[in-house]
Amino acid sequence: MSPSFSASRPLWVALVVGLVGLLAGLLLSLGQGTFFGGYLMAFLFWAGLSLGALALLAVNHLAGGSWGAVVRRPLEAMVAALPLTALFFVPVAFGVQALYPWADQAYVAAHPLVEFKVGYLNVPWFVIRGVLYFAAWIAIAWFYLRNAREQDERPADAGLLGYRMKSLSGLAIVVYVITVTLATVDWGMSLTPEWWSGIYGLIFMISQAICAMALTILLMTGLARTDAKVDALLTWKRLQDLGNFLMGFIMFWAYVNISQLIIQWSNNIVETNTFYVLRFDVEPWRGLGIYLAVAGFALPFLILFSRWVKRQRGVLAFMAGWAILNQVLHTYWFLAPEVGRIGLPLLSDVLSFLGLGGIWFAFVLRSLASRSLIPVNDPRLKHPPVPAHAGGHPAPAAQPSAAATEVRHA
Amino acid sequence: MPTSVNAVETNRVLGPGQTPASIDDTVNTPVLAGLDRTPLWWWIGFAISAALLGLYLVSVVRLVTVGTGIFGNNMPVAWAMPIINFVWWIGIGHAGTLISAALLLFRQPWRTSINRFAEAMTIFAVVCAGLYPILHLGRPWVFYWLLPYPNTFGLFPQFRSPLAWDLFAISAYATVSLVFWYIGLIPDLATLRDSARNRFQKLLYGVLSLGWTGSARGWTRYMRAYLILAALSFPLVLSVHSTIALDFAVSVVPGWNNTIMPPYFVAGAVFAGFAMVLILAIPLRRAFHLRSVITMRHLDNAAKLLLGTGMIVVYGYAIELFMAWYSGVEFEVYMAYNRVFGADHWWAFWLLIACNFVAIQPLWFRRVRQSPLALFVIGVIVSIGMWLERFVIIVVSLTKDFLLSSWFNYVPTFWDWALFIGSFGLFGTLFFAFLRLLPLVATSEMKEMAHHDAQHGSDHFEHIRGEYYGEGGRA
Repeated sequence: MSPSFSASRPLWVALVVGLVGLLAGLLLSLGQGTFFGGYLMAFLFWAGLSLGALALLAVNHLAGGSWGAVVRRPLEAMVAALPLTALFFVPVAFGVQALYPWADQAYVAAHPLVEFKVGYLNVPWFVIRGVLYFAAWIAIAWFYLRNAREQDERPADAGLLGYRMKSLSGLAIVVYVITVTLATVDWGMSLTPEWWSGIYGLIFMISQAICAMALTILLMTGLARTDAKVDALLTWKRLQDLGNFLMGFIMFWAYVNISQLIIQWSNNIVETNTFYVLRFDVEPWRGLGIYLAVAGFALPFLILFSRWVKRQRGVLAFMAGWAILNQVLHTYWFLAPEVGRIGLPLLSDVLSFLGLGGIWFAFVLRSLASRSLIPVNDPRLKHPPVPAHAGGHPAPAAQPSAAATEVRHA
Repeated sequence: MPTSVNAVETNRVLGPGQTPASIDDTVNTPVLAGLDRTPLWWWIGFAISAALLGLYLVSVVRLVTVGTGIFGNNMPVAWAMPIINFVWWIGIGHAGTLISAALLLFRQPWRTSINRFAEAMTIFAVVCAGLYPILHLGRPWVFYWLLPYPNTFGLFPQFRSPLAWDLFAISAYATVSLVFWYIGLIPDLATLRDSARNRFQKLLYGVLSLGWTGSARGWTRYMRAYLILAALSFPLVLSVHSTIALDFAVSVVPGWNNTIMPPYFVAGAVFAGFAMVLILAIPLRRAFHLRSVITMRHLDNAAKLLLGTGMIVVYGYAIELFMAWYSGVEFEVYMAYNRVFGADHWWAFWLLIACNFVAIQPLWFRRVRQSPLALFVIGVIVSIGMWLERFVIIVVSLTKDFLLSSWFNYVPTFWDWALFIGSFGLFGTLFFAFLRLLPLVATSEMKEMAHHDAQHGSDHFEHIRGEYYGEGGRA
């Protein structure tokens, strides 16, 4: 497959921003011990984007909906960055002592609740688990990418390969859920080793899904401006599907957050109330929390409710960007207080974020540019379900029955 | 009975060769036939249900005259069988709402044909469930004190308590489900009215169909109302069981105060509901010769949802135990230990894992999903498992909470069981009456589908499926 769009300039820009940002961040925080906190937040966000894409890709194959074929390539490109995020993990493994209180003998000795779990929370086991998570994720990614490449090369076997990807997707989702739950406990929750919340993993999973879906929307609408094939496939119907997913994920994100809030606030027991005591009593966090409820949930919810909004490429792309911005802030709200930030991030945090993001983006763009932007042999693209439903404009009422179905299903 | 087109098993949403007339014959003929044509199995089922309903009524009378002391509840197990059974019943209802509302919004055509009886199942299950908290109040005749109304004794609900939200969540759910079901019935009731065979049917369906004429304007408004109601009931699926989960989770009892509870309870409810859909659908399609209307596709998809929601529930079990251990808090750790290995109730936990985790694993295989008998058996096992889940969460957590001195081993009494078994009679009586009086499949929607198939040659979703399963891919 020949590359169908030129990514060289954005790619180089991203790569330069990435490397310079990362180095500058490292130099800036040299000797202050603040580097790893910002780096961890950046790592969790960008690795989360690849993981969200992995989950969406698995759901996409499992559910087999016609929206899936159109967005496969951006998702696959994000998934292809998983080995890169494994590389991103290496500094975290070196920063364990600086990041996690449970790695400190004196802290553990003073906190019996933490002492209880040092069999689980200890440096070697933490690193081994990290390696296992990435091994599992990269294995799943490799499975999808290899079969996708074969599907491109061998049109005759496209159906069989599609079926193969579909049949292992259930297992992939099970592995994703188990590993991401444990990974978020390790990397995020254990920053405050005495606090726990059962829904923590789910909150991160849904945040990852929002980011991956939003970035997919951004990439698709961006590519549609230069690529005629993407432009033709990105119909109002598809846009509306993607918009519905984005809205649904945002609703679910609010739901899991409010669940944790109501339960821990009502319980009000010393073991678990620390999370909201910190975030409701200390000012920057309180304001940011209210901002997230309004700008992260209420506004997008009301705006995305409109079918018109979801069918406009520009507006939907704006809402997608808005969602990503708020998920960055949400990640910050969740993690920054635990790594000792008060209020605004340090410059080195921002530089780490841009640094990892730049490198990640360069990788994703390279991967996207290396293949056809449309999985041409995807069985779902060969038989558009019903011609009257799939036009790039509101369907003309060609047949009375199709029109009637449209009314019912609209 | 036109059995020729209905005897074939098919994986399409609608069997081949169906016409509006054949759908009418299949669904409406049994409803319109006289009582003397009612099959024997209906009479047997109705009689058993009515007998159990009698047991229910006796139990209610006993409860009202003697009081809640007839139950085995005692501190610290203040919540026991009545709450287990309440949560069990209301969970069953959720699949009905999910099928009728969510699948409509997601444009899943396979919802048609199973939505009607699933909605009926929802309403009857909500009836059985809703009576439990009222009966459990102790003085059921003053249940209206739960409502926020101005009164002379300065009593007002505590709105910080999810128990107060429950009242609103459940009553809203019951109301919307009933209205949604009834609106969906109107065109079908009009069809029954138009082919009524006697005066009773004419009157009954004539009044209930609200003068439906089938005009284009009528249909437009009907469709709009139906969609709005679907959009209203979808959040209710989440809200009802989330509120119930919060009833538990906001208390500080180990085993209850886990933040995973709301989503995991919702998944559990849908899981239980789909198990009940399978339990009801499989005998019904046989008894009413509905194989080409409630097809293997419906059963296969319901089984997939059963597997999916079941795995989420299993995730909940795992998180509960893992977090209890991870917390390091003595009481939480003991709760997890007691649940899994405790001398009194270890069997309940392992039986629960056998029912809700092990028993659903065969559903990964298409061959199992294509076997109605296997699905029926799995449905029954899951229903038992979901009852055990509530038993484990409620009773096992409460019997051994904080202080050794207050530990108490709960044993249900005769009346606990009598009221529970009796509630099957309430459900059964309502359901058998429904089977005899109303069309159990939404015929108007099925006719639209039959028309669509006739226009386009075939069920257009077959294309995608054919591609995926083609060339030896069919497992």
